[in-house]
Amino acid sequence: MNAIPPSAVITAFSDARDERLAARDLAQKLRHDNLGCVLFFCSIDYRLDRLAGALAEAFGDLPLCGCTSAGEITSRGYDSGTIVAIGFDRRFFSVGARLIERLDGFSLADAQQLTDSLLCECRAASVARVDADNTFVLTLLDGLSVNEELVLATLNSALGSITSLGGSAGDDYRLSGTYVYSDGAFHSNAAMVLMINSALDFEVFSFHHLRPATVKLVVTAADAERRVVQELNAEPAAEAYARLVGVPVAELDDVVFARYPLAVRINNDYYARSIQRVNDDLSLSFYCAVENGIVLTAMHTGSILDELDQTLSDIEERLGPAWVTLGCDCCLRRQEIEADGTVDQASALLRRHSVVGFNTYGEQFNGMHINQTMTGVAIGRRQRSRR
Amino acid sequence: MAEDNAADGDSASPWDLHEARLMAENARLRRICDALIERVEESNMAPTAPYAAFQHSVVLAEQVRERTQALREANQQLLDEIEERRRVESRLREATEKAERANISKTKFVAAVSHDLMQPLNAARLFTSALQDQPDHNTQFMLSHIDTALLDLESLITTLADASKLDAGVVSAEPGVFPLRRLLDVLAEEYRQMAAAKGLRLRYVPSSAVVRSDPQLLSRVMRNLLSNAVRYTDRGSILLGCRRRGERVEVVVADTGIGIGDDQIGDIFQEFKRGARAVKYHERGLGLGLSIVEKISRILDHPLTVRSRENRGSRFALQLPLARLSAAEARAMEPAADAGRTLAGRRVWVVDNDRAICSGMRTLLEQWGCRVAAAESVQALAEHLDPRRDPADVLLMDYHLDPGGDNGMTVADALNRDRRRAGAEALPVIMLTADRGPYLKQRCARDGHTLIYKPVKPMKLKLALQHTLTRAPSTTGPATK
Repeated sequence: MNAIPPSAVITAFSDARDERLAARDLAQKLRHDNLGCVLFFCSIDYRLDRLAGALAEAFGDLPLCGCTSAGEITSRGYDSGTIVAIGFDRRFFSVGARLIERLDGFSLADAQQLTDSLLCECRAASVARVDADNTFVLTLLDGLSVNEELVLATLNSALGSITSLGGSAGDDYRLSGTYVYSDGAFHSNAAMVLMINSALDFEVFSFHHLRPATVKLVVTAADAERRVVQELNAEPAAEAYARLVGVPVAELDDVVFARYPLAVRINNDYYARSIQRVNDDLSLSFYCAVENGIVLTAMHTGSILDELDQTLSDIEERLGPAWVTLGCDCCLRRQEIEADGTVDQASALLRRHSVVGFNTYGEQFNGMHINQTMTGVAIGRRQRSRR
Repeated sequence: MAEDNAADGDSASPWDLHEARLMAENARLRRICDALIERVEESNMAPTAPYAAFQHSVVLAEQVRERTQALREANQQLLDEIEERRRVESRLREATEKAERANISKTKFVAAVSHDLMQPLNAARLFTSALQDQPDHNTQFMLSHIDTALLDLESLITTLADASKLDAGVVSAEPGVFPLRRLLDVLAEEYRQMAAAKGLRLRYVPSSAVVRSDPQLLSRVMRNLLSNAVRYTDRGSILLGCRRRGERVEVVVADTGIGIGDDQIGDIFQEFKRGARAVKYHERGLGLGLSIVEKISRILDHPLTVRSRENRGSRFALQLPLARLSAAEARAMEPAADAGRTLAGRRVWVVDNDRAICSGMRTLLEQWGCRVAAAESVQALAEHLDPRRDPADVLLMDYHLDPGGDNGMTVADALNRDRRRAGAEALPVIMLTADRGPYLKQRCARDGHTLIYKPVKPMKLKLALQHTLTRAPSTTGPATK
């Protein structure tokens, strides 16, 4: 077994404001003879059309994919206004990428075809045996498309036992448009599906720091298509929620949403339904699917930093020191940390665990669209042991 | 509604207010109830709506997680079991190897001891045989007892040696084609006398069948069966017979003896296992006889069957494949006209490194009128005569000479080479050995030497001498190569 060169997977970021400078900066840091594919996350501050042209120019024919963010995680930790990227060495990673252009029409047949073609591409690259042990799928979805659940459920049926994870693109809380990048352009109402096959050991994870409280709220009026809850317990949703958290409706903001999440319980686990905003009619918009009649449990937060450190340490215990940990970190987690004033500690932890990634409008894990989690994959330095 | 109540003002009693509040609360609860009912009903439908899709995914993921966990546990358990089995197996293998090593060393020990015991026994028998030929009636009685004791001892040692060789797996069949009569006639005659001594009748039904078998091994099986039949029968008769069965012939030894109980018939082929009553009949037996029979019949690939009823008798049957003699083989079977040839005056040289054997052999050969020169080596022989030039009729050569030195074959060859060089005639050689292996047998056959196995039976030696001298009738004839 050959020693793995340091270039097998490398990360870089640029905080240059100018799109061409940023793209060149990245290309210069990432380029090497065996660079096979680049994955990036960028601030919505960039002029996306210019950035797309600059990236195509800087990287040429090299496959490039990515999405916009609600904040980046770079080698400095929590960052913003930057573009951060991971470069995969084609000798150790086979990365196949497909764009889903219309999320609302994504059928099971489409999912099957997409999965088959990605599997074929990975097999052709023959980097490692293409099976569920050596392969994972990364999804990057338009975070405002309200189609995540159906697309993910469909894709997951086709993927079978292959683990999938990912994040929904963000736009720095502007809530006006989120984009995924493929083939020289940014697309909305679209998704990127990447199949990554590698002999290097990796572990996919998803965790949160939320604990259930006792209060329950029943959604009594909702617009499932738009993820809007008009009423909780037959009261205007914002009023009911404001009373629950003890804050006037006018003062409901992202930090409150982050600190006092609502979650649905399915079997024995709780899945956060994160609130996106309060609408003028006192309804609440969510980042993920809601439905009339679901029971929302009020949650309180545990120690976000301890949970982060503990979970990533446990993974590195099993995997050895992570080479790169790709993190899809819910934007509300970052809101909470910023409100707590612990950004520096959080950044130190993220650096220690070699995390790069972005703040999302929702995370994806094995076909589930979830909120207020840290979901990702840690890539180790060792070749996967034969089991 | 509250506003309506307020507008009504004075007309509203506290009771009315309370009722209005309750109705509002009731309406709210009804809506919650409706929402829950809708949800419950929705949840039973196919997951086409976004939230239902999410819920479906969660349940699926959880099932996958649980199954993966169950599989992992089952897998781990299997791995543990495999590991445990591997450990047990390796311990068993170690124990087996140990037992095998112990068994091999035991077998080797027994073989070595049998061989060493055979040497002095051989000498003793030669002496008693010589003494018996003397017409001294005073010693005859005691001699016959000594001879019987020695015979028993010899048979025990032979049995032990056979068993150990069979255990060591060094015995293999060398099948040849021969008429069954050639072997059975001799045995029938021999055991007829033994049976008669006990007052038993031995009925022999000869057969013209030609079989494929190893005559030596077959003879050992038949001897064991016949000895047992005579030993364990007090009254009645013993049958030695043959019966053709298709492509096979069945050789049967049946008796009217003590028989074997149903409860013991399964054990009789095991080593050192003897029937309770058999022990009474034959105190000196080892219980190896039938185990040897069974092992040899397996080596020969002759199926062995036994039927027995207690107090009625036993019937052992061995199945041999039929064969056909080639013309050359048939000719070789012609009996040699050796009988009655006198050994008187023949010059016999004996070389054996065991002084007692030399001495016993001299006594025996001189009984037969031979002129004997015996020595422990050719060099020692040269002290009395000139081995290269002096005439002689036959050389009796022990194969196993001093360890580290040349064997009898090499020594005999060298002697004959020297003789030819000196212009004297090469001597016919009778090789004496306890080595029953195929190699020596083939060498002797190739070089024209006669092979006699130890312990030497005087009659056999006499026959061999007569046979050899027939082939080389004169000490003064032309030298042969």
